Amino acid sequence: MRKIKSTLLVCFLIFSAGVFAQDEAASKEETNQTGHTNQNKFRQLYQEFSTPNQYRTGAGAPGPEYYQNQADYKMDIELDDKNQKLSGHETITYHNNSPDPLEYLWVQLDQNIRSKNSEAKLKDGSGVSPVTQSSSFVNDFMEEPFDGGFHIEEVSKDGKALPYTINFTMMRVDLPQPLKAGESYSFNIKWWYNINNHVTDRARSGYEHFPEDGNNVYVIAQFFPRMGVYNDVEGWQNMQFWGSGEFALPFGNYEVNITVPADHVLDGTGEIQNRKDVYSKEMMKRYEQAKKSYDNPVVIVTQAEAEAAEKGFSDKKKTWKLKAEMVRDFAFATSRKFIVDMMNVNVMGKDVMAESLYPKEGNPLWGDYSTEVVASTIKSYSNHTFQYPYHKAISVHAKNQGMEYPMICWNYGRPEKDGTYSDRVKFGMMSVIIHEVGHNFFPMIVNSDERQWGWMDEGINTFVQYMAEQEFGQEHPEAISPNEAYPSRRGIPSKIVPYMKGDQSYIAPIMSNPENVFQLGNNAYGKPATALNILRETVMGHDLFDYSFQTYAHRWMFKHPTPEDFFRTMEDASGVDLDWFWRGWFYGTDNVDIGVKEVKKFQVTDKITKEGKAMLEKYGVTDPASIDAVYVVEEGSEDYNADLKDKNALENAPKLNEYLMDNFTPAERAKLKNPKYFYQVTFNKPGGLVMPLIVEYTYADGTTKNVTYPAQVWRKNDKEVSKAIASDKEITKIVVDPNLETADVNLDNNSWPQNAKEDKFEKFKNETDN
Amino acid sequence: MKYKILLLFLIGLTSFKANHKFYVSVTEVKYNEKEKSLQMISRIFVDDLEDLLQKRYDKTIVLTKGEDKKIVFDYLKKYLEQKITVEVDGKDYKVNYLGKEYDNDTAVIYLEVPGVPHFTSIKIQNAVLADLFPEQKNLVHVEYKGKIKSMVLADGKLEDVLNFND
Repeated sequence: MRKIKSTLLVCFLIFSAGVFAQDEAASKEETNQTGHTNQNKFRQLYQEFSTPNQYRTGAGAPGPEYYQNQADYKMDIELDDKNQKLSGHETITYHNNSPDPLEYLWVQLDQNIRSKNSEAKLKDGSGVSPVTQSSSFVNDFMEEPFDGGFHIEEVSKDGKALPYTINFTMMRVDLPQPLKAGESYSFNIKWWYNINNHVTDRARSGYEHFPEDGNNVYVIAQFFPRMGVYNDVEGWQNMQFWGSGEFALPFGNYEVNITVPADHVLDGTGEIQNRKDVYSKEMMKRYEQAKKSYDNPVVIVTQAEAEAAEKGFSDKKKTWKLKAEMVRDFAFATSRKFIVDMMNVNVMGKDVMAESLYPKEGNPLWGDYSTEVVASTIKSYSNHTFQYPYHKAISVHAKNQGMEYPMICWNYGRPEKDGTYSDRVKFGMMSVIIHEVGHNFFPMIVNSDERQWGWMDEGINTFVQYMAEQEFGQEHPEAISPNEAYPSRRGIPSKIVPYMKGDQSYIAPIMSNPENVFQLGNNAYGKPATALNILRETVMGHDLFDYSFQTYAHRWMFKHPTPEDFFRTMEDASGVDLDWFWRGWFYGTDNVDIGVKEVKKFQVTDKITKEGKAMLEKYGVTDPASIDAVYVVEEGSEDYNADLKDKNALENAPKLNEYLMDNFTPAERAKLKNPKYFYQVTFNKPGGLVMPLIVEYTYADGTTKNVTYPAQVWRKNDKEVSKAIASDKEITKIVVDPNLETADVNLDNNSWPQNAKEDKFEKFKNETDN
Repeated sequence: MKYKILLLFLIGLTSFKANHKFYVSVTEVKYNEKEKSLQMISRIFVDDLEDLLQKRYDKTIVLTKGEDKKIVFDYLKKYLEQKITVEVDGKDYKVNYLGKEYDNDTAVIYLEVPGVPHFTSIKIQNAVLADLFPEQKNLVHVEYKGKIKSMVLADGKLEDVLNFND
């Protein structure tokens, strides 16, 4: 009993500073204070989150009544290479799996963003400048704009026209009777449009023209009227396509016949059904070899063959038949210029064909790396999520753009004309391939709504991309040499600092629509990727994070998750309350700045100190001598005596020694610590974000110790927190976040004693001068 | 006047941006009390900058660690000192290009404006890459006496004034 009492008293004295502060606050209490609502950074996210229901549970999983509608397509497409026109006839079968009757169907006409009178061209502000380059003046004010956009020739059912209304990039098809729950509806659309040059107008779909040989390389996407998404969250997804917010699409099965010039080589989403009709015998033979090649790509169309084909310009046609199941979209690439190579990949026991299509302008870079990177990517991503469910993944070379579709994507990275390329071009190409192939997982399979939430696919994908890049580097050291690790551009905490410390007027929370943010690259890619990397490395640890992340991927594979489904699953599967993390990193724009504010050193004594006496008086103890207690005295304070230095607590407080002798056996005493140095370290947090407090203590003997205090240290005081530390070695240095894990925007306050500031500018200037 | 050599694209002629490509530069400007100078660090994507030098000056230019340092330095000096201009309290000051270093896909560019007294207003023009990309945005943050103020320069508005007298 006595033992407990005295021990408590010692603790209580060490923490006395905090106790006093509270007492003072209480005494200053006024009677008419202004109240406030709960602003604690650890408060629950109930106000931000939607209420769980039978469609989506509080655990973040699909609920018992979860449904999703399906859209199946049968299409005949024809490319007019001479006039760069694409036309098609499609039959859509829409399955209403929702409990609601649907009076109309919404079809997306994304090509209309390029129609002459597109509203999207008017969305940005512009100014008038006193001087303008002639060419841009002509372009802006004199030239006719490109005549893009869908020409809808027919919308019909069984030969009868259906009424429809086009509103910018969407078309409402009015049904004669509502489509009841559980019923399906088939109808036809006939359309054509002029294909744009995707290089000059920096688009996601179109052709690149090669004036040297007169050929075009087509990368074709968003090319057919596509069903919108109807679901429990939004009804019909009714946000128009303005250019930044990408796509929201239902899953379905596709049968697509594409007719192109006979000398084109084509590939796209889905399995080629008539490979023997469209491949030459030689190509078939090599294709069979590729199926058996797990180490190196097999070239199916060689550069020499592609160069010969460039000169052909056949008037004959050929139809490629493709079939895909459970995909949310369809895209294809076609040209005479394509070189093709393929390699089989064993993905968790399943064969997947990694494939690349590129004109000679991509070589030697593309032949050297593209297919190898595709193979590595599907393996890495599968390990972090689920086994890649499709039979192939294709990387197509397109100038200046990276864009993703099911099983196929476009990627940049073009060498100089003489075939040389810099590391930047090489790693830019590898990174974009990893990123776009990775998009097969998010959002092609974990089908989030890109139109509303860019970060759900871009941010999550950029995070997995970071891991896949690092893994590619580990698996292929020769490909990244002389770098020791893959030079990832996003994901590492320090890389997001310039963005997060920037002007708040130009930063939007991650939880914003992609159309409404200032720097989409940082907002939807860099920051969420970094946040998830920090969550995995620093907050949760690999085991808890990976299990939860895989749970999310499995739960929402081939389904439509919302942000809450992700947030909830990560918490539910890990047992880690992360409301504070989502609130700070995803719902706000605060940044991290944590520092060491003050370090006080103490010694223990059994001599009554002034401060100790005053404190005991507050608790009604008028005769301190009557209490069996020890006191702490701050170095440099009035009661401090230099004799106390470098002695342990028992030497400085013989009373404590007597107490131990009376209450502990010698064996017990041998196990007790006997610290010499006592500190109170105050950490402050000028930054708004809550983060774990990672501290490295360095001792006089040169050894170090790392302590991570959980983020919860900030839950009662968001500005600062003190820690009492008893140590048998003297502390000589304290550093917050020594390994730069938290994206701390200001490192000037991270050390005690304070480091001499190293100014980046001065450093560069001095180095240059020398 | 600074307009004399400006070639401005005034209206974003492409409203449809390709994915994963963002035309943004970020410049941090800091007033150094001791040196009485403005120190500028500008971060620009290397591929865009290379594209610019090739289109504007020399098709054979490449920006890599093994580049022709002298030629690249001279072109960058010529270009940047023309595109980034500073006026403090109504008076023009000379911007000096000091050099650059690479950080992965970003060029970190160092510029200095020497001999600048205390001021109340600063006008900065940053037209970097606007002659190549109509959708280029240049963010400029100015830190003066502990305060940070910012401007976003884009489209027809490639210069702006920040007041530090409040």
